[in-house]
Amino acid sequence: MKIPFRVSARTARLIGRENIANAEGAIIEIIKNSYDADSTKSIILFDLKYSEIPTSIDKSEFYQLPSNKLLDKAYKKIKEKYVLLPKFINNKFLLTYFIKQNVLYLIDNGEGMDINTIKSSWMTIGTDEKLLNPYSNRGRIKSGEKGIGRFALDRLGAMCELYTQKKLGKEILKWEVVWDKFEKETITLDKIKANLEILNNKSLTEIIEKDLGPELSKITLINEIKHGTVIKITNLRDPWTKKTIKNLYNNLGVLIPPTELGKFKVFLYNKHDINDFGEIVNPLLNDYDYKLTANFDGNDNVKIKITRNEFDIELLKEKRNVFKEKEPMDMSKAPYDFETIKNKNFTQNYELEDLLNKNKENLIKEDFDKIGHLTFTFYFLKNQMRSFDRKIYPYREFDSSKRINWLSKFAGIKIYRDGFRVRPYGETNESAFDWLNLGERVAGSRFGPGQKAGIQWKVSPQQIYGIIKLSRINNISLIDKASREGLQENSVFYAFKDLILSIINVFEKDRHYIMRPMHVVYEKEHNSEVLISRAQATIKKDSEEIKNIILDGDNFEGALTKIIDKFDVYKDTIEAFKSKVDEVEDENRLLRGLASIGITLSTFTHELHHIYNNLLPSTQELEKILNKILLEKDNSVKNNLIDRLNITVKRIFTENERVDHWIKIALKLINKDRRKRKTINLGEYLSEYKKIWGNHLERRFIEFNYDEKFENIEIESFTIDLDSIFNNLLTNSINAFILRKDSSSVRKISINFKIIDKTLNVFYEDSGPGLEKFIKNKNQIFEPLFSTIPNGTGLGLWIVKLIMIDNNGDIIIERERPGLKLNLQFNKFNKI
Amino acid sequence: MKTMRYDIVYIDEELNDRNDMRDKFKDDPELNLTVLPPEEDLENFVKNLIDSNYDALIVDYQLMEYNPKIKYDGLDFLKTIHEIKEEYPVIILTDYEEDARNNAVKNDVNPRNIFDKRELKETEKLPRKIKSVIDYYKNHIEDLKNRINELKQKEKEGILKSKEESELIDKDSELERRINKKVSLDKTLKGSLALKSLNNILEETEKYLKEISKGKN
Repeated sequence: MKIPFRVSARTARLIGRENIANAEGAIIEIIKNSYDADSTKSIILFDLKYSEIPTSIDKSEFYQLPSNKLLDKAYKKIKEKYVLLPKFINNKFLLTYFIKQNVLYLIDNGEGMDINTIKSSWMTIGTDEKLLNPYSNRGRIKSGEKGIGRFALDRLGAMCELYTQKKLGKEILKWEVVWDKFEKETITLDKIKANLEILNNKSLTEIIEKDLGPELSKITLINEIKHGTVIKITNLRDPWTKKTIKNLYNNLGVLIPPTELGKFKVFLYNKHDINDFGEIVNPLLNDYDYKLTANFDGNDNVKIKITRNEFDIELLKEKRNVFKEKEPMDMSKAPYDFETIKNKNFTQNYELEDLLNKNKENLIKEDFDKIGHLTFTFYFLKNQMRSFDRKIYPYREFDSSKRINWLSKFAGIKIYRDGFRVRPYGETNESAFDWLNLGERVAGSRFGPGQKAGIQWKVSPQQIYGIIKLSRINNISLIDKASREGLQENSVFYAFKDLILSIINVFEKDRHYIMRPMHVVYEKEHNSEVLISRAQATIKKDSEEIKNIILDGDNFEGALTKIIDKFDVYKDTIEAFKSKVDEVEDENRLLRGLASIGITLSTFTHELHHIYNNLLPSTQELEKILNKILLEKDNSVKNNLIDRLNITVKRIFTENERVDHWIKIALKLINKDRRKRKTINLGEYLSEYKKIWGNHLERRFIEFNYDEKFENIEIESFTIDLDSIFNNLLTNSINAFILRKDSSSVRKISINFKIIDKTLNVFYEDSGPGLEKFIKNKNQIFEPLFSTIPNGTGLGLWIVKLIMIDNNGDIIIERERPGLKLNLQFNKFNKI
Repeated sequence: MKTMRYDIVYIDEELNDRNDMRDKFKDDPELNLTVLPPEEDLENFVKNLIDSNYDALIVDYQLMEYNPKIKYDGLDFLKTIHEIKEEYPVIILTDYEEDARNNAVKNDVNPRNIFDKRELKETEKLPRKIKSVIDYYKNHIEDLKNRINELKQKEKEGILKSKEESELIDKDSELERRINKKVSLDKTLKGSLALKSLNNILEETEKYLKEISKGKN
């Protein structure tokens, strides 16, 4: 006997609803259906009768409302009106009741459906019709999938009427369903019936006009619709208000890529205020700094067109010297010369390999081959500009607040497939907004595009807008997740991401190539010596002049303006200095940190050599023993070998453990987070520090203690600075312990503190022998290149001193010997 | 052919490394290895080692890092040994050869017996190196003894030339320094006169000793 599966109606409905995340998604789903049906327009129309509880209702209107006990209680008839009783003003149930009276129309002028289509496609859930016939009659690639569009209707409202007229068809079909019927637990899907009626002698327009009135029909162009589908959804599930509709309007704006606009238009209206919305227009991008259009042929070539729109050509013209620069690119030759920048556009072809900057061997060609043809358009809009920057780079002026506003809505790299968004990629305020991890790239590079290391400059995800166009036909391997929220993250998807990132990088590099020479020229013309002497001369001259102006006293206002103008000049000069100083300080910090790591590592050379010396030989030994065991027949010899095997394995384990510790230290210390200024809790810092080094100290029998009350102390600094300080001090202590023969057998490091007169005194002391006796001036130890140990760099304590001074503090020697005791003085700290 | 058996000792503060070395020499038919951790009292440690009559001492260069009680390194160890027995075969192994060699030169120690651990481990050179160091030392002492006897014979026969006499004194002193530097006589006491009377005393003493032992029997 063979028995069929049965699906409960409820389950079918659940599956359908789960596939659609929110009301917006549902509307998009229906627009997709319109697109697939070859519509040229799709209209979303809200009949927003109520978005709040009305305080009074006309008698005639009141009688038209569906009867409801709450309604009867809440309103009192006064003359010809029904007036709301005050205690119901904020009644949630009443509000829901009114919101349910709103109606949503979804109208298109597509092909419409006949009885057969309704039966075979519309009424079959999960139909694969679109997979079998991926092209529409107009040659569009159908964008809906998996046959779940009708559940979108369920998501929007409890009742649904659908009117459809086939192109050239004579009759109108009315299809009607009440979704809540599905809820009965025992009912199977095949038992649910939808009503289907044939309405003769009527046109679609007539039906709509009845509801909307002729005027509205005219304005919304609905009266032009001769065939297509009209969906009327009532008993809405969402409390639509003007605000939420506005959000929808904004979001639909980027639903359709700009180039599709002409062929398929989407409108959104509010019946009660027809001027509110209108055609959904993709926000026009004319005010960008850079535009890049890439065309990947699906094989090996990427054609990239770059449009540079960042600079004011007139201002740039004056910067002749920029085009004499030869580094990093020859600015006298295309595409970096003035002419090319003036003409804005240039195109370059890249082979995949060059673009990805990978060797053929490292490229997983297979995955890239599977990506398929795609185009990627990408806009860069910086959202702010310091007035000082404009002295270096001749930027075009722009309205920063407008850009920030626009970007806050539309920034992100979005994916479209066959004209429709693949969500949630590039969706602002969602986790997949930065699906390319551009933010992480930015965090890893701290350089501006014009700086020396600007080749590392990375664009922030908040400053770009991009569209990747895919199609179901060309990009077969980039498939939807079953949940319809995004693409499956397979290896092709990763290759695809790689490709997109490398295209973005072409822009980043180009911006560096253009801006670096501008910076170089500016520096040449404004180097600090020139600036200082110029500023000195100006100040001298100006102070005389200001004195005269003040003595004159006649035109005081004019005099003040003049003085203020002068201050502007000073301000700019100071700003120029400041940015230079910031840059240098940043570099210094990084260098000090790296130097300290180097110094610290040299203390452990012995151990590192030890690891290096043992790791490979041990593994070779292991191999040898294993081979012997395999061949050995004599059991006693075999057992012997197994003993040796055990010893070797144990040793390899110990060595691996050490390697593991070192890798942990390395990763921790070079973490880029440590280069950011932040509030550091010293207790937390020292506890982490102890953890990092714990193993190494323990093995050398070094006790490391710190005052637990450090957890009440916070300082504003850079973690990398504290690392530099403690790594250098620790290095010195360890060296004293393991190299000095006059060192005591007890190895102890302790860190305590005392607050004296608003200064935090951090005492670092060890149980080592202290300073060598031959050191005459104890403060010599803070001088650069002063060292008393073989192979010492003599940089450690010098670096510590520099950092302390940089942090508005100092370091002094409290005790020379035995047991060196240092005092790190911080003047800025918080006690919590 | 009779195989020579060498008794050697390896000193390292790290247990792993000691085990490692022990393991390495387990199957060597010629080398009999004892492993030891360094002891706090260097003088006493060295004295005991010398008394135990090993053919060679192998020591790790860095001995303090993982043991806070030790206050000397391989180089100090070597110097202490050589204060008693000059040129006694001491091999220093190190993970960081360059450092150790530089330090040796600074301390006026010939760095020829300082070797890189990894190189020796990887190439199986270590046993050969050890053997050749021991053989060289033993052969040298053997040569010294032979030559001294040769010269002494000549002296007895009264045909020792003055050049040969100074050679005898040199060689004798060298041998003494190699056996026990601390009780060796100063070279100046070994001039032909001093030497003659000294030798006479020694010969007399030996004669008496022989008679005493004869009397015992």
